[in-house]
Amino acid sequence: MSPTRARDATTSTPELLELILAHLPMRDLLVTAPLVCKTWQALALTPALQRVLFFEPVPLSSSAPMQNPLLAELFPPFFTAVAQDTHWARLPGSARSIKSMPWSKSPAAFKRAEASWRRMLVAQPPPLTMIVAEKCYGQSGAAERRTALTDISPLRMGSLYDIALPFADADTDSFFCVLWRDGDVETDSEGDITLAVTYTESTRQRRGLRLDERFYSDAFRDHANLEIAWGEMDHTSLWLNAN
Amino acid sequence: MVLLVTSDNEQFQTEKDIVERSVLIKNMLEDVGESDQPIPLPNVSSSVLKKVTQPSTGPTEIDVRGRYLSTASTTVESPSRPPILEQSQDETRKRTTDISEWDQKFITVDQEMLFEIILAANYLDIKSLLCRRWLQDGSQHDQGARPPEEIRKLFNIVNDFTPEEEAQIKKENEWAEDR
Repeated sequence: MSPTRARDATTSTPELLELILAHLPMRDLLVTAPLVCKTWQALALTPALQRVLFFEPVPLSSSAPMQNPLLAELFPPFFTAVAQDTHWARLPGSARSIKSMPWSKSPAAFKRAEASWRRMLVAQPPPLTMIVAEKCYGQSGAAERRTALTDISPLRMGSLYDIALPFADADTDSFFCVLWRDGDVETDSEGDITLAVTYTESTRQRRGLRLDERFYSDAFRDHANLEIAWGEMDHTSLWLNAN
Repeated sequence: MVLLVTSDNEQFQTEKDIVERSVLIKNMLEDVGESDQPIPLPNVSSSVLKKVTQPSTGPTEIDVRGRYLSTASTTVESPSRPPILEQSQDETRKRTTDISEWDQKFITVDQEMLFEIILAANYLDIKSLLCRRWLQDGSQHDQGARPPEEIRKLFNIVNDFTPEEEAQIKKENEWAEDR
């Protein structure tokens, strides 16, 4: 078989092309493959490749979920591992860390409503439930409240970002972190993923750093007002030491 | 030992466990039973068969289909590494080393040979075909997306998008482009 015929036979066999595309670096598959031609654009939409791209969920498995590497690269505050004894004011998520995310200097591509990161699953297999746990340090001690969000299943980056952002964008010093399930389902029956938020009840107002509208997606959906129905106050230490 | 005959009529004496990586040949051997008869491979040339069956350098256990294509799979592998199935942890680690060495050699194979290997592996039904990183042979684009023009050239593909269509697709994924 001549070289050219080998190439043409390869590229005209969708099954083979799909295999090849599945092994491209994720960025190439996402950004470049759909731009090559209409056939490749259609191929990138096959269920198999949509799973590779974190658009469609993979079946649940017993092993630890794998974080979306592209999102982890571009949204570091949401994917940084947090040690149990981390001081609350050193959590990775804050208005400051949001402002220094890799894309913050040219937010236009991120801000537009159709930007595909919003549809991307944060991990594979994706979290199906999310706990939001909030801890407030005031003069009379710490108060906690938490709620389980069930209407986020499977969790996509647009939801996680929209839910977390208002917590970081506050008049008080506020921080958040995302606690990822480490694979051992038994030890964490509460939720696949926890968004932990801390802030201080300050007597001085407007201490916090505010985020301007550049950081809010055009498709921003305010979950805080719409859907977060808080449960009862809980004073047990849930997820972080109050040191 | 199994005797294989390629499309250019060359004969290959090959270890049974090596040829049985090919599901096609494995099934043939099972159908025929113990026999000294040569197995004809009319779609595979000798140069390609050498590449595919080289015991020291050939890939062995990599499943080109990857975990996301195989619903039966339960292992989780980072997409930056080739997905490896049906192996113990230790073996996986060992294989990963083997693969990266093989990967290096694979990349040095010229582009036409690459297509022939892919076709042959598809015909022979060898799960171990490796095409990971094969578009990165120049390794100039390790950090980011390769421009679509280069891919079109490599695959001899005509751009059938209008500029407007192209712009619309770009809009969605521009956030992931290099910056």
